Amino acid sequence: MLAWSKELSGIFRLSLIMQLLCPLFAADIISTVEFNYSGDLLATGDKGGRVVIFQREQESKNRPLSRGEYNVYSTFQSHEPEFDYLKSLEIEEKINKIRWLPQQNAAHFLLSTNDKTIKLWKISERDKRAEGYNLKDEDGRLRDPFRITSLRVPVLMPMDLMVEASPRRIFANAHTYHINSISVNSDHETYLSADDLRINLWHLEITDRSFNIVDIKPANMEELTEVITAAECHPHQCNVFVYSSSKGTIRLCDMRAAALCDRHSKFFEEPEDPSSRSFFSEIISSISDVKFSHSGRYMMTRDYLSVKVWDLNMENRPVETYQVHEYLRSKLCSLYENDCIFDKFECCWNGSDSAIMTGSYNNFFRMFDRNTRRDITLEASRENSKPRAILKPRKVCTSGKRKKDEISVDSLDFNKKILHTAWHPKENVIAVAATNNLYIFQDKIN
Amino acid sequence: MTAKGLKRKLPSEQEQIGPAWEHQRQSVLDISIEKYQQDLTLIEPSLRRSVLIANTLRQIQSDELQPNHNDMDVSFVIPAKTPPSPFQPSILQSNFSHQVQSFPSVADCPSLTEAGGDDWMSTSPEEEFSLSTAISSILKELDGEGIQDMSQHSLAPQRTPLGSIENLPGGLDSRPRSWWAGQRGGEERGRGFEVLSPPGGVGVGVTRTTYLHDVALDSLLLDMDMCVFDREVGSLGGRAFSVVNNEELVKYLPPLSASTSGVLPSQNAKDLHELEHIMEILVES
Repeated sequence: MLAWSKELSGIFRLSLIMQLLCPLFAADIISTVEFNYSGDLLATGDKGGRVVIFQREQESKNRPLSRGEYNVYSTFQSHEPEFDYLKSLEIEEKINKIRWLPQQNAAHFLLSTNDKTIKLWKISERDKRAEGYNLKDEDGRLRDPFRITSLRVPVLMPMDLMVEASPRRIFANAHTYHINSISVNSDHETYLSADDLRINLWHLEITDRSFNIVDIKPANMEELTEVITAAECHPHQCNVFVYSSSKGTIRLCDMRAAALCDRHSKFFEEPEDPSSRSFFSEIISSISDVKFSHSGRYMMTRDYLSVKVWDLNMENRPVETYQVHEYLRSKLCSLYENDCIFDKFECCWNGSDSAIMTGSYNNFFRMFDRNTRRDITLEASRENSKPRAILKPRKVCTSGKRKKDEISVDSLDFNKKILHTAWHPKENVIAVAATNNLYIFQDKIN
Repeated sequence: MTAKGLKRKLPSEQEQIGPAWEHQRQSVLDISIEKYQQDLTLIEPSLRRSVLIANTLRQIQSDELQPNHNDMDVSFVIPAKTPPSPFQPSILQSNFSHQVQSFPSVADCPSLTEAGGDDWMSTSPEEEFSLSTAISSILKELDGEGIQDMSQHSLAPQRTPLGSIENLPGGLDSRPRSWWAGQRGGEERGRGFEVLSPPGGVGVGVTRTTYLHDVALDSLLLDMDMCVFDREVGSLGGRAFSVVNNEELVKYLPPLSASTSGVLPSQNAKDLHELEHIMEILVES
């Protein structure tokens, strides 16, 4: 449970900052962040197609201060840039999404995807090796079989821990458009992948076939006015999934109803407020992320200016709406001009569904407590925070008079955007990706 | 007795819709068009972004349909179904580029009919659109995909014929297919939609007669429209010129045929030469 102290400023202490890679290289921009089911592993994907996995340190008496720190566990190149010769265009290697599979044995499995291809990776540890082979020497050279006079049984000896990542499945050639979401089903056997116009259902063991379950491509592409922006499987009901659209709608589909789920079972849309209508109403209503709560009763959607919590039993409006950066509403024209209005922010729940978090500009990220309705703005920045210092809440000044420590809207840096955040499934540990830096914050209330 | 203070009235919504709104609408329109054109130069633009920009453009133009902006409760019906282009380009790299071509027709461009008293302005936008689409389609086929001049090409689908014509002289300096794309360099010409829907809401394109060289343009349009008919027939190949009803063309061209003065002979000859070159290309393909 997230314990909110009276002073919101005392909630989070910065315990660790990880800087992944040199900021000069664009390839190192983090494009996805995801905790595994236990929270011990944190995977990040970047624009260069690399996956870096961090592991949480276990408690150690020797290094008490490092308890709970995340250190690099494994790094591998998941996707390479490809060239589609038919269409004469390059396929980016940027990792759009990573999703962990529930752990079933000693190895860890995750799905990573770029625009076109999904890969299942197995991450396994090797801390022993066999020594005493008969047919080869310790350095690997083959022994002359005629010189072998006795047999011995190889013995497993400990070795330095080696973490290996190997691609176990490659799910390719199923998406004409760019994949924006993948989601592992609760049956742990299937998963869905969604692009701009279609959603496919895969079996984890079968790579040469997938079922198309949603297709919103119109017969005449000139009639296209809406695309799929995100999709997710229900956390408990393996027949239910949702997908969001660029028009601010969410459709819940039941795979038992029909093979092709073009007809939704539930349709979630909030009626538009006519008084706030502008030229940008549709663009800012475009949903950039949809996430079920852990309980499965609610879902959360992120559009450009707000986060909304929906009760799955009520389709006509959300039950909660949180304004992320309402002060940007008067700046929409400029944000449209510099393309920031198209930024796709993600959102996440905490383990108990009592709080939600999402990113903003200027390396700010926002957290909302659903019970107390309090919110806080924090900054992921090395300049303004020291390791193990308590994070100071930030405030954006909207009126003319700027108070001390406030930042005016016009001085916000729109190049510093926090699009990807993740929350530990059980504890108050959050991961925040700020361009090419990964920040991990932990709640050290003891 | 001093007058008692009058209660200040909140400005009615109608008053609020004024130059500020118009100014914003214009700038959003400009930005949207620029983005649209930029996306066309990309081989694979983001589909979501393209759809959102197209919808915004559509909304702006549908707002023009409703002069009474006071009615805020009007649900802005953005027609999802656009009139299909009669001339489907055979090859398109991005499926969504269809959207590009059909976009202008949704507008119906009523602003062109508002203030203008000329008969030709009441041309059905579909016909205007089909002409420009035909032209652009033809040129696309000529050039194939992934053309280097995509940036110039991209303007073609968005222009009504009048927009095309008005840019003609400037564009003639460069390669033939960039006739109507000459606006890139010409500040005075402005960009496509900007010209068509300036603050006054009048299709100014036609009234800029300084750009119009009548004789050359007459023949140009005559020939271009023949190609339109060819495409309708379905032949994408050889362009046998069919006889075109001149009266149909006239409704596009009244101001052009009306004025015959003010044309520099040298410029005229140069234009003719360029036009001949263009027509050769069209005929041969």
